[in-house]
Amino acid sequence: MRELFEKLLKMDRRWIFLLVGIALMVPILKPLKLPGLKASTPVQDLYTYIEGLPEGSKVLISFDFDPASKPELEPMGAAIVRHCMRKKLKVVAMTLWVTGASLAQRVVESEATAAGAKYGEDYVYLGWKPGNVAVITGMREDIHVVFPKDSKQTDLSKIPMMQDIRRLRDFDLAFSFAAGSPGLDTWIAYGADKEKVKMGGGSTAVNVPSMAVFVQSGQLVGFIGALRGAAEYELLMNFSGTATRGMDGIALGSYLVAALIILANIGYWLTRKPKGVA
Amino acid sequence: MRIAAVPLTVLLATAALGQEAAPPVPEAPKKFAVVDFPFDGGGALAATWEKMPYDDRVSYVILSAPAKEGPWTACLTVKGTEGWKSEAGLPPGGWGGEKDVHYAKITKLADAGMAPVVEDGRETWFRIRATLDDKVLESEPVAATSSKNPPLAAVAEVKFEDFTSDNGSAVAATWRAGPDDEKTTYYVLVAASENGPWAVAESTPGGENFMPDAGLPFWLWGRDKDVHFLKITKSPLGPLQPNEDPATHTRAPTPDWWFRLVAESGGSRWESAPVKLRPEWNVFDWAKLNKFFYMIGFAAVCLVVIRIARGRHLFIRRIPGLDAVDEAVGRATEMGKPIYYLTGRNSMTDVSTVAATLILGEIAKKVATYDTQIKVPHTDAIVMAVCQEITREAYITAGRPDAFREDSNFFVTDDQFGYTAAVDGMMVREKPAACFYMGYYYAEALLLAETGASTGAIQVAGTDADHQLPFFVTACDYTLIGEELYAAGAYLSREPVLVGTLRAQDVGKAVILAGLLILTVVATIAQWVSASETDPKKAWSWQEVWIFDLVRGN
Amino acid sequence: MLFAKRQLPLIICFVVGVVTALQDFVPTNFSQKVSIWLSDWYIIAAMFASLLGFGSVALVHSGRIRRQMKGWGYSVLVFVGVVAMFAVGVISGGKEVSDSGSPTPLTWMYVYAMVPLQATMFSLLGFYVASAAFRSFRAKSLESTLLLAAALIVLIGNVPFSNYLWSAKMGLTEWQGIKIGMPDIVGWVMSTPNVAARRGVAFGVALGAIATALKIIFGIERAYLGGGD
Repeated sequence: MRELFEKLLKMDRRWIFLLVGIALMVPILKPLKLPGLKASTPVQDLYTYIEGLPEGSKVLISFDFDPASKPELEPMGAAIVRHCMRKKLKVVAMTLWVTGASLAQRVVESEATAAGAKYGEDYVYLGWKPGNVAVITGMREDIHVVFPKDSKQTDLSKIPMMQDIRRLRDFDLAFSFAAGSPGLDTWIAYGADKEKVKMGGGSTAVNVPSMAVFVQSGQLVGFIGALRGAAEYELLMNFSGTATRGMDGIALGSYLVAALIILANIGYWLTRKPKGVA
Repeated sequence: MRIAAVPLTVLLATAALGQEAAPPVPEAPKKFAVVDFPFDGGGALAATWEKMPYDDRVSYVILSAPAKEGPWTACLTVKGTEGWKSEAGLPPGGWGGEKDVHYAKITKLADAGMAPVVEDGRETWFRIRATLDDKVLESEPVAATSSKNPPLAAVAEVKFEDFTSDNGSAVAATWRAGPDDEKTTYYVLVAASENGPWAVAESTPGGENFMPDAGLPFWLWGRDKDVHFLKITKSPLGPLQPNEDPATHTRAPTPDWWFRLVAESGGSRWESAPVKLRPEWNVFDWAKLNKFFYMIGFAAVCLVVIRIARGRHLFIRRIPGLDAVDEAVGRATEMGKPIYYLTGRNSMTDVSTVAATLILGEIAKKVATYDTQIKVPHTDAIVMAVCQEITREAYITAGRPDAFREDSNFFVTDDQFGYTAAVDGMMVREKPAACFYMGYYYAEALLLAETGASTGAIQVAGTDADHQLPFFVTACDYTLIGEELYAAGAYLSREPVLVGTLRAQDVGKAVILAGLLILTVVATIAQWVSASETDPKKAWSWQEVWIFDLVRGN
Repeated sequence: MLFAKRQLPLIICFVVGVVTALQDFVPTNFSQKVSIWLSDWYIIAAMFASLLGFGSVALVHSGRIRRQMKGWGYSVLVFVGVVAMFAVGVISGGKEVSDSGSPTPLTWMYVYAMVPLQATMFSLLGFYVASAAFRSFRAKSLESTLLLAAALIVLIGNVPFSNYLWSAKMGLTEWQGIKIGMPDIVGWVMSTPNVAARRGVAFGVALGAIATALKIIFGIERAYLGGGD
């Protein structure tokens, strides 16, 4: 037994990679449809808040991620845009990440087209602007100065829905779907908190513990944590998207890692005992 | 089946294209309402209803009846293209001035056993009939009663003043709450001249918006919950302070504005005298006075402690991660393998990157002394330029300028994962003796550290990116947590001046800790006291305790 | 020369540092403009520095090709990649969608090269997390046991199916008035000990950052200029 565990502990890490690969691949090929998905409080809070917004409320959505985090953050972005369109809210989308400019545009366009929304009247995509924090602080003063034109090179002054939207405080709700910095915390610190704008958002799993601070302090009206949060939002929205489909993989992957940790510890204690005696 | 379906769809689509837009389906007039005509001496009612899409072809007739069941008789006829709410001649306020809502003033009723004029205090029923070509559409009946509207009592302490500590874009309106606030709505009117035209800039129900809602600290602003407050930043013509012209980046000077307060309750009204005011910009943001004092205070403490430290030896606790630097450099020398030093993903504007470059200087000195090799792959060109100088100086200080290699610092790419892939590749190929990860990291932290671990290198990480700390702790031999990264420069160089700033940090921390303890106690007591308050108007939360203004950010 | 290399940077650093710090306390539009100008200058400087970066890349890789070092073929690929992406960008006129509405080659490169490459690198994290956890999560001491327990609770508790087994099948939802559903336990770990530790680190980091900034603004720390005093 000891030898077996000794071997296990010295196992080449590529075996672990293989196991993780299998755990993630199997549910993609054959969905298990594990039960138990339920909206957590921060996700439910966000959903309820949007539900409570009157028709025509103005919402800012910043897609602050790049292709690397697309699988994790795009589903939640799509679900929120879909919800806003369903509630007939006015959506202004943008990004602080240059490599995310196309991704954001595609999410907004596809959801808006599906909902039959009109560009310039129901939604606008501003695109990307360099400057990170400077963009946010500039938007507090005048969005039309920071973004004189939208992504289609139309003057903002000629876009009907942008007539009433001049400053950050004109929004009823702002979002950031963030893979890092600049992201949700940047928006909170330099934008939402200063202008008393309600803020919601989502982040990758890695950043969820950091964002817990803002959820706890009430600086976020609601929060979507990683793919699981997105799946919960899809559940509330009553549709099954990529996030819901990814939940089986996450379940098996998490169980595998947990099993590996437990095994490694059993191995550690079994192989350690004689040393302790000696 | 599929083949057959296609032509059918095409056919339907073509048919749809050929059609003109369908005319609107006639409906009964929407949102028909009759209310007492406001601000008059009685004897009149006002009817309103929504504009309809077929207005140009319709005529409206308002019918009245003494009871819901009738008998109904016509009392007023209005053409579909006439009679708008904006034409009622009423002052701006709760009435609104919509141009697309129909309006008719009712003073006379048809006979059929009823009094010919509208009488105060007598309930009458109304409905509206729209006649469109041969269609007759009627709304549901509504009841209304006219009344005399005595003037409202004057509102006390109405004040308009420049909003403090801003860039000149807002005006603060304050006034004392009245006894009938529950039924009152307040409007702040704005005009470009004393004679108007006046328009509503902001409004509030009588039960909302009080002085504490301004969010200003106690040294600038009162906490009186019986005084209303509204922040005015815009007029219907635009913001009070003109927007910047995007082409010229200039702003027209802020004009003088006229303000007045209006209180409305039922059909009664009170107006304050107009006040002329121009929002002014302020040189200093007095709301941030606390922050300013902290900044000056902390800077002073730092400078004083540094002065004290110059002549004394100050103790610094052991940081094992930094003690391992010698071990790592020695190992690299023995093995003849390079040392990898990473400065993080952020630019030179980030303090953690600055700290990382400072540590690089100290490590490069040791590397130069032991005559081993250091490689510093970069993701930011400015950081690379700075690190090149630092490394060069370190070699000169160590007396080995000849051993310095220009290409020890090199740029890889500013793309996060491109950089990670490249550095991982180099690590796997070269199997470094030691890897240092200092500075700020994102998702690449574990990808780098785990690859480094797989090559068997001694690994030391130091970051203030709290979300990446768990990964470094798991994959590295030593990890400098948070502020230890900033302390590393002082720790390695042992320069009294730098050590002094560490002591200053400790003083700062002690002050914060003491403050936290005091405020936690105050907040807890406040919560208890507030929870025991039965009158909801008197209940308050800990946020309202003035002492918290000292730490609250603005 | 020594003035340009030593004193001048220190003077610039002091002036810009103090102006930036005070700017926060001056609410005027001019003060906000100063802040925007400063960040604009930084962007411009960074753009010039990116040329420096490209120079460095060119130097390192051309050297490898010249000396025919092991793996020099990859260095050739670096240049091929740079030229190809630049050329595609120029051909596409910097646009993602052509005037006719079809995606340009630039979009093609972005969607079919950049997106999968980046997503692949990021998803490696999943594999590395597993191997790192297997290698180093050991219950060696009381602290590491606590860490291990917290990790397992969050890891397993975050899977909705675990809560299904825990609450729906085992009926564990409440104990003596305390909610003990999986999300409640995970929520407690995340919002109480986790947040407490993070706030502690954040205070230290913030003070350290301010102290370091002060050292730099007042010229006490000047090693970043190259060397000590």
